[in-house]
Amino acid sequence: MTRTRARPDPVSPSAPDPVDAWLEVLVAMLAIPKADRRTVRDELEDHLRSRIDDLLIHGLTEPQALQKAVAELGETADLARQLSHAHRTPRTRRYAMHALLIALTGTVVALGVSNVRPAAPAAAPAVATLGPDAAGAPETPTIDLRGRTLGAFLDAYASKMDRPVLVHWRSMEDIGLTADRPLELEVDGVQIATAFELVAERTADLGQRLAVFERPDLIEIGLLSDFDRRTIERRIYDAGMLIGHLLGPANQAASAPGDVVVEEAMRHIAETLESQVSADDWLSHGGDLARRSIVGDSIIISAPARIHEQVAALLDELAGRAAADAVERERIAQGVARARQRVLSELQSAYESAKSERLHNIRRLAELRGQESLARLDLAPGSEEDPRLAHEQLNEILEEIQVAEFEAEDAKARSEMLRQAVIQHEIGALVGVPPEQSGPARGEAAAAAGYIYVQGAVERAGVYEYHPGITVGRMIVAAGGLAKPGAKTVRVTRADQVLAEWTFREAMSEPARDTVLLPGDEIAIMD
Amino acid sequence: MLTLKQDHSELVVLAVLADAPSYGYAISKAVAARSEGHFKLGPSNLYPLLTRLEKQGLVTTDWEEVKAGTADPDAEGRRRKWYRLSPKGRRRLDQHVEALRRTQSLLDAFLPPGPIGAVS
Repeated sequence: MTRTRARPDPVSPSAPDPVDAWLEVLVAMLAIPKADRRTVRDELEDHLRSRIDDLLIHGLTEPQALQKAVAELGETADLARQLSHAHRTPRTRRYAMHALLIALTGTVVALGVSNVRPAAPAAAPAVATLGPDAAGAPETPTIDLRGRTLGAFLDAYASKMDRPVLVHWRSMEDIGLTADRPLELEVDGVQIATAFELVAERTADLGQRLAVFERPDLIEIGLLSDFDRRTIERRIYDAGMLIGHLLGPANQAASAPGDVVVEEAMRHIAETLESQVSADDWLSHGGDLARRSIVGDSIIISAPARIHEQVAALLDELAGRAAADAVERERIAQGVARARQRVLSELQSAYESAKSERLHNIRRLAELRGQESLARLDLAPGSEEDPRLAHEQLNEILEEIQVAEFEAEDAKARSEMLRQAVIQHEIGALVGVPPEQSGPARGEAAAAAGYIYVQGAVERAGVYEYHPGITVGRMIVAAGGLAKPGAKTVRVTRADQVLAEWTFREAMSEPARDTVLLPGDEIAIMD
Repeated sequence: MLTLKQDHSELVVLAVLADAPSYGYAISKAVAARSEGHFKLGPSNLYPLLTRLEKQGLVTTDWEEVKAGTADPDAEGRRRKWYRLSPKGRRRLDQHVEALRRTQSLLDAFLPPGPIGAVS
């Protein structure tokens, strides 16, 4: 097997070692600290060379093995992005929210990244508000960090506090945060809260974060996740408003609890929350601090207070954005309705002119037929006319009739077509689908889709969208009312059975008779 | 070819490491072998995942100097990063397994006892 297709290959043939060359390219793309780059590079080098050795054993040539091994790593830029992402602190906010809104509304929400709330590191507020600065000390003490170990720093920290300081060494040592760990922070005279932040940053590479937990009689220092565990509580978030905005009023009316659309939307919202707020702490992401469940249009979340705060803020933000989006959609819908109305009136005037053309054709035909009769009289025995001339005249008239009949047919077809187009368009406007998509639907199909038929002597006979609770009387009004004052009998047919039949006057004067309709019902108004 | 979801890939990698310490390439081969080739955990998923596991303290790592393969005896050695399951990683694995068992037993209640027949 030989490959002739050239790959846009970072492995330059002139480089002394193609694996090294490729690794250089990859490392240059990594957005991570220098020290980490080296380890990533070494690890991937080991992977590539192990893989190449394997492929050589399987009989590939060296260039083939190299090409295959590199190809298996995927797009270089993509790999670099994923590696960089994994090396950063996990609490970065991603902007999946936009994708969610777009997916749910089907509307492209053009939002710049600048609109997004600044991505505050999740751990910072907890430490900042709990830190000594928050106590409002008039003069903030400073602390020297140069040459200190973690233990020495915490001793110095404790000496500046007005309360006893309890350090949870046991859980800290579990992850390698021992008292003799050097901090390698070469600064002195740092404000105490800032110093703590620096130390927390410096020790964050172990996957856990140091935090201060201030109490009236005691200051505790330990792992953020341990403090988090103490503040875990359950809160219920109502996402009904958000769902309403996202799905729009039409969908919301049709969506009963347990509706798949709502369920899907709720799942989207919950997953957005998980990926946006402290992603690694959720049970579903392998964490053990936060968990959620969905009940109807509520999300029940059990999590530390700081996660609750962020969840609440994010939900507010989503709701605000969704509300703005709903307003925009309403505006668009109104524009569509106006455009529909324009098209409809054009169609109607075209239909009117086709109708009058047809009337003209009918009159012309009648006239020609009269002439034909006269011409035939001239041919009758005993006529005084020249038979040859009379024959010619008759033939001329017959030809004209042929042409007129053709034109009449044409006008009839056109006016019929336009009539259908007008009806279709009216139906489309009522049920909210573009005209070309709405077709005749009757019986079961109509019941399933939620339509009602109105036929007979109303102004606008046709198919109408069903709304829960609509009555016969209202439906007739919606259809433009009675076409003729003389029209009397109203008949309601449900599932091919006559449900009720009475006079229009009865129907309108006695509310009890004003039957509540169901999808698929037919109303006929007869003389 | 099935690609693993993030949740499952973490479980799979932790399970492989529960048997013995291992390194990146060997892990990806072990995943393919144990799933009889059904699961593929590519480098672009594996290495970021290992990084996260390390950051979360679920695995510990150390480096080993390796001599280059037989192809080039003059080549310099290279470094190999070994991963070892930490006690915390072991607990996480147990949690995963427990959660899966619960899901499985819940699902069992909905499965027909015999082989699933043709859907009418």
